[in-house]
Amino acid sequence: MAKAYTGIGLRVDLTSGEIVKEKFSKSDAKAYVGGYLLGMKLLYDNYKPGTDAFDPDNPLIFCTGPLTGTAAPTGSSITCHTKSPLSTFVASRAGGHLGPELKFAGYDYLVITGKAKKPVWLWIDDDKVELKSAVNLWGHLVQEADEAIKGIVDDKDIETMIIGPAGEKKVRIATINCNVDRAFGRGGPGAVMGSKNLKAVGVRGSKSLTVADPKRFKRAVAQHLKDLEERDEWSWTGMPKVGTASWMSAVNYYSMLPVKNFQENNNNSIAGGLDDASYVKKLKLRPYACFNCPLSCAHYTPTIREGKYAGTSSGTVEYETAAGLGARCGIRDIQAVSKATELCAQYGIDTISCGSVIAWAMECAERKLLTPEEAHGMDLFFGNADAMVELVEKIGLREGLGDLLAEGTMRAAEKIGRGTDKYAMHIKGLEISAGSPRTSKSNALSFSVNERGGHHMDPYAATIDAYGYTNPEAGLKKQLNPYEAGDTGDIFPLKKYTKLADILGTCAFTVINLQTLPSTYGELFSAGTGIELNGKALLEKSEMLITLMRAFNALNGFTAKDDTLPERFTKEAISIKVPKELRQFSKGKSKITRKVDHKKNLADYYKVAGYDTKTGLPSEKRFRELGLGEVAQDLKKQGIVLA
Amino acid sequence: MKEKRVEKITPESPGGSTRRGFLKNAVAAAGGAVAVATIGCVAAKKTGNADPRLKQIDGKTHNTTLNHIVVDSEKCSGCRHCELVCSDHLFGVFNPKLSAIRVDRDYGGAAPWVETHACRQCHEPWCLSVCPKDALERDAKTGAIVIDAKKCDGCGDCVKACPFGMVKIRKETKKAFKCDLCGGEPQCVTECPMGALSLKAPIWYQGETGGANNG
Repeated sequence: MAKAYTGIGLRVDLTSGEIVKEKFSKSDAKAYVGGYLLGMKLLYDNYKPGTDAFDPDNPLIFCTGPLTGTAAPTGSSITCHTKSPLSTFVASRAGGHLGPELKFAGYDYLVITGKAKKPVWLWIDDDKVELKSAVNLWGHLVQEADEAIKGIVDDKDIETMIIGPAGEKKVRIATINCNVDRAFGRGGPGAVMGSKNLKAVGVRGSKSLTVADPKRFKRAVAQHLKDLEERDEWSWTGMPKVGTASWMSAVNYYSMLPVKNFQENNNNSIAGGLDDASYVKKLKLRPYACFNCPLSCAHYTPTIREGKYAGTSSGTVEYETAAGLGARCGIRDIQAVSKATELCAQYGIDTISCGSVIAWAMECAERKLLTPEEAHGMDLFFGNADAMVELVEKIGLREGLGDLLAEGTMRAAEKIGRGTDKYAMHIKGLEISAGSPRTSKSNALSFSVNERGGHHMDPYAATIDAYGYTNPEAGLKKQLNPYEAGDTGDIFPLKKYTKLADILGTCAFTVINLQTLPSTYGELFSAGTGIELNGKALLEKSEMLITLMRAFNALNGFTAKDDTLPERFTKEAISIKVPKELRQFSKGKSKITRKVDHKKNLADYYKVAGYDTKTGLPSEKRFRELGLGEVAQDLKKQGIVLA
Repeated sequence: MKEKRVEKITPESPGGSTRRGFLKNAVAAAGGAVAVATIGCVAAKKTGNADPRLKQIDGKTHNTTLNHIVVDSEKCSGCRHCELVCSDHLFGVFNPKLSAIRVDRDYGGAAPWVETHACRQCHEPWCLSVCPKDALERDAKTGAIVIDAKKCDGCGDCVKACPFGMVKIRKETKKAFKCDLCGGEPQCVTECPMGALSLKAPIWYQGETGGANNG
């Protein structure tokens, strides 16, 4: 087996209780590398199109990357793949310490199928793998279950992933939490785990990982650190101090904040209440990093001592969380957001989707589209922090209005009807993240073409528009005009580049500001595994991943029509304050009004990516070039015509 | 061993008869380390910078033979890079369980914490004193307590003796291992991304607190 991998995959069938260890060969490693690509390949192979997300036959897959657990900076990733109960599919990454521990236990990936008769949890202790009863854990919060499991095995140093009550009750925006407050967040993987009656997975590993060429690997690690340090000052200054909370004021400055369900994009009062200064002042914080991460964006907040929210101790209040549960709901109280964050972690709910669905309910209530019966007597309006905190708990328990919101924004709007879907901010069923599409065209486009729905990490194009980062090696040579439609061809190479980290098992924060050179990743991979793939070859693997994701969607009925945006962004124009640095793109004006010209943006992207305008897929030839000939055959069998 | 040092380190009062000399002796007997510093400085003055054990840390001269890895818990982020670097240095593999430095973590609770533990290279090392094979000794150059793998038979007495859990047994080889300060330049200290680790003399020895909690 190639070095840096363990060479073994684990399969667990919950229906029969059968546990099988299978070989993960060097040729497979060369073809599918790891992380997202390996995970999507396993999902593609093990999932029959059309199967319901809650069907026992829907596999739940966890994958590590080749660099996970090695000395490569930020090598902490583990990814989760399954058919999403909310949108298309789940391809979610979590940091923390779980991924490396799974590799130290001796496994590159874990595939869980079937459904247990009674609640169980999976205990992976090196070679010993067993299913244990979780009847007594069922119904407990994440923290409680975590402590109980650590007590059962009498070791507090094990790593866990656990679902809370939300996952058990199949809340469609439920997460799987790793070590309590890192999470597989988006797309509802927690609900799938809950549908399988699997409460938790505990991992303890004591095996060693080695790399193929230690000296070359050390040089590559040094080069990677140099890339991070020299090519991006922000990572090394803002991140260790307050993490992504440092973005709040910047996002507000660039008019990208999703205030009141995207009705405004700039609000000094709200941003002022949620920014890093308030964060530090009102919550205080301590860094706690994911495995082997020099950036340490994650922090925890020591217990709030006084006031209404005394006793609250949340994990990181990330930018996305503060913007989702805060700005999006018109709330400026960082302590209320911290309380909601704590509840989300304990019940196992995605903070982005949760904030979005609550904001939708608030807007519907303000527009008198939600009857008092439907709202279960709750007084909903933007800025009502008490209601927001209450709703998080209710979603977790599927109580009252929470039962409706637990279905996610798209399904909730379908149920209520009366034109409420106009205010449902989702793409392909997944609630969109906190970056205003009307201010950044690259952001708008990357949301719409995202295979897993309205998610912000594939790629995080807002930073490119705001700061004009470039990376010629990855094919990004110039700063784009964030306001004028068209000229979006660069987003495709950007997306390919961003996926490098997801494939290799490192963090997206090594690529978010285009810091790491593809050649550095090529060196890390080659020196680590002994399989020679340079940066260019790895970028091909990225394209393979993107194509495989699109093929998965095509087999499940998605077409180019689904690469769309909520009509608020394409029909309602909004006024944008243009910051000084970007006035070259607004002809010197300090204020402009914009809506998204989606058609024009999409045309450029499809052209560069070589996609058909109907199917949204590349040509059959391209499928073959990328090593996906069989996938092209599957598509043809389903009657999908490839160019 | 301690007695010997006390003998050596009383340059100001060879006979130890003056009151001052007596006091010094008493301090030296109690702490041992203070005295080493004194002789270190004197030696340096005499030979003009010859002693390689003397290093300038934070503007003070320290005798490195009593140094150990000190953790600044306020700075530590719990990323465990030190554990990887350590297992790589000791055995050429990545495996936190084969690391001589240990990061204890407890996240998500009402009072989450991160605490990193490094070997204190105790002044009176219990691991050393209990070894039935005399496999442990203090390295004269670095001051680290090191294990002679040839003598070690993996009985585990040292593991039990250490109150801080800083000695471990490697299953594959059945040999004990612990922090050897990487021969004087600990890799974890050099590579810590948060700058939370440093190679210092014990706090009591630096005369900053007067309290003794390090061996």
